[in-house]
Amino acid sequence: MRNERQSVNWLGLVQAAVLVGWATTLGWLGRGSEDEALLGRFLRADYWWIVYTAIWFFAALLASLAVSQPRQLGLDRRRSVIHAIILSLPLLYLPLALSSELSIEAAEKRSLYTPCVAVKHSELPKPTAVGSPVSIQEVEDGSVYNPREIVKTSQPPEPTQTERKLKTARSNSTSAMTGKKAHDPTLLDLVSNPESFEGSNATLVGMVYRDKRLSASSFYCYRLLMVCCAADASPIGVIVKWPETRKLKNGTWVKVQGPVGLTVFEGENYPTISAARVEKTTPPNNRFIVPQ
Amino acid sequence: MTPPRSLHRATPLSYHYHAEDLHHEERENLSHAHPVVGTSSFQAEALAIMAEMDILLFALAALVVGMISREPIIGDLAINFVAIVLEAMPFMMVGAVVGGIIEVCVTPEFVQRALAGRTTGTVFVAAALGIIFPVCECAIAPIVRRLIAKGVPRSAAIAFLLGAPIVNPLVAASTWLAYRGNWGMVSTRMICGYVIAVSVAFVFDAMFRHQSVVLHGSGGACEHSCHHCEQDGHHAVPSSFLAKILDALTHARDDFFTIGKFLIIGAFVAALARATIDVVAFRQLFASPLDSILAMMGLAVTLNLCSQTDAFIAAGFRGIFPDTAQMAFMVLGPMLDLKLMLAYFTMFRGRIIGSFSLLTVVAVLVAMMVLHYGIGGIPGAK
Repeated sequence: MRNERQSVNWLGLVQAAVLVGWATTLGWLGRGSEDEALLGRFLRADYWWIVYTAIWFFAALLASLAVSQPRQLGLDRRRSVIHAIILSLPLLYLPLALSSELSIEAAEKRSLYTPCVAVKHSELPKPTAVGSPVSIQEVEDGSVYNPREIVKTSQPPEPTQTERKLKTARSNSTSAMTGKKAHDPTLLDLVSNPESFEGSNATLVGMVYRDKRLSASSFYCYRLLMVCCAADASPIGVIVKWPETRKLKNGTWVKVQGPVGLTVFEGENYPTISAARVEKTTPPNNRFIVPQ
Repeated sequence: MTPPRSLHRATPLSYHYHAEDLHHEERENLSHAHPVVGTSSFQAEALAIMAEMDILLFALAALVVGMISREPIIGDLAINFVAIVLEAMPFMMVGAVVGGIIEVCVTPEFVQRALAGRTTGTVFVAAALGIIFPVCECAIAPIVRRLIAKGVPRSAAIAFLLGAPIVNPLVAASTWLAYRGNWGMVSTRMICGYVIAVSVAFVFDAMFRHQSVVLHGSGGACEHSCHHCEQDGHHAVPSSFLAKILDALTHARDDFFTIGKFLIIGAFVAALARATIDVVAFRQLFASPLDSILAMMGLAVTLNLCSQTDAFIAAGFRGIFPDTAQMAFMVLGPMLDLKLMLAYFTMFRGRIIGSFSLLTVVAVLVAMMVLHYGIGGIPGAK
């Protein structure tokens, strides 16, 4: 009987440690303004309320632990500890996550990803990222199709419904966005609807990625677009023509200024900036672009 | 204390647990939890412990390597992992608390009354009961055990078992949030969940109408549907409001500590996939929709995610797999995964579980193929 009580008390301590760890960590991450809070490195700001809600729930569970003893749940001490460590794994990973940034390799691996929210932003389709092979594209409806399959099914290739939709939307885009040329285009604007901003001046901040398939005097300037959280963030960017590209290292944050143009890369139109000026800069507080 | 009879009978089980060097007390607790279950569930439990340990050791080793070497890929893994957990954990908490409130405030007798007296119609009602009882699949298996034990038609119990973890408001809300207000994804998930639950229930009933499918004694002797009864016996239903709140929170806490590990492990696997998989290579590997749907179905079964959080994991595969493959993940996972199969062993006979699992997999696969090729994808999905 005494052993059982000791075991329950011990289990209570383990559970309390996990709950306190979670509640305090979440509170700490959410501290500060929207620009300062560490939570912004993982989640878009309009989702933070779910984390704040979780803090209250953790506090409530902690309060219940103070009143009622934990049940044994059929676990011995070792298994309870294993579960507690598993539940604490994200907390153990947190220091590493906070001291890291999504790497160039991560951006490369996600290069094909074109979130539909970026399209929703302007209600227009956009080209795939620079790293995309021509064989697979993502289009307006977010579905994935393989042109090789299209060729197989129709000889000579008739435009599919998706292609027609893409073409129509692109032609509509020029007139629909004409009135918006007045404002300085953002990276999201350029990627969503490059045709509308052709000829206008742009100032962008992004990271350097020197794609081997580009000429030696060009690089890809990108930022990560966060749809929900950092796990789904994907690169969007423009090709920057800059004679001194060789001096830039991959992953460097730069500020690019110059006129917007269009270029064909691997059979697709991409927005470009013929840079008048490229200078190194400090990373913005929020490294991600968060579409509304 | 006399060892339970089931342990005397189960030679392979004894070997397994000795091999795992489990505490005698745990064996007692497990055998108390499943007094009539064969060795299969114990072996599955032992395998689950091994899997937990393997994943934990791997995760800790990766963390140490990452801290020392500062390998970018482990930094990416850490960021993905923390982000997915931060997004999904609150939903699990909400689900646990709502589940706890239901456990305390709603009796299985009420559910039984709602399902009693009808046959065919009951199936249609049962598949949608999750709207009133928004519990995830982790908590639903014991409720179904109780319903079967109390004489609810098994077709209705099956429909409830499969439908409720999907057709419920919390799951709809998390799907809506994960897909940024994409009603096409939300409604398709709800409709698919409902239709598949009803279909499988009818087919299952037709296939096994004259056979005994339920284990004798399943349902136990508890007076309420709490799934912890499987493990720690009974407790009195509190009468005062405050006592009910406390009891609900205790249930929620137990849920957090028993189910939370699945979310963490699932998030870790998803983050690892996100950090290591090259989108281009992965797309080429699973180039056809059938391959990608099958791949995501396999992932759903192995990840053991809670239905209230799995949408966030599925959403991480946007751009990697087509919408229908993500939908297959979100529909099959709440109906069939490894932890659910473990729970099914406490209700159904082994061969019945095999048929039931196959039936569910085929139903989900057919539904997704119809969606992909028949309708051209998820209706209304952006």
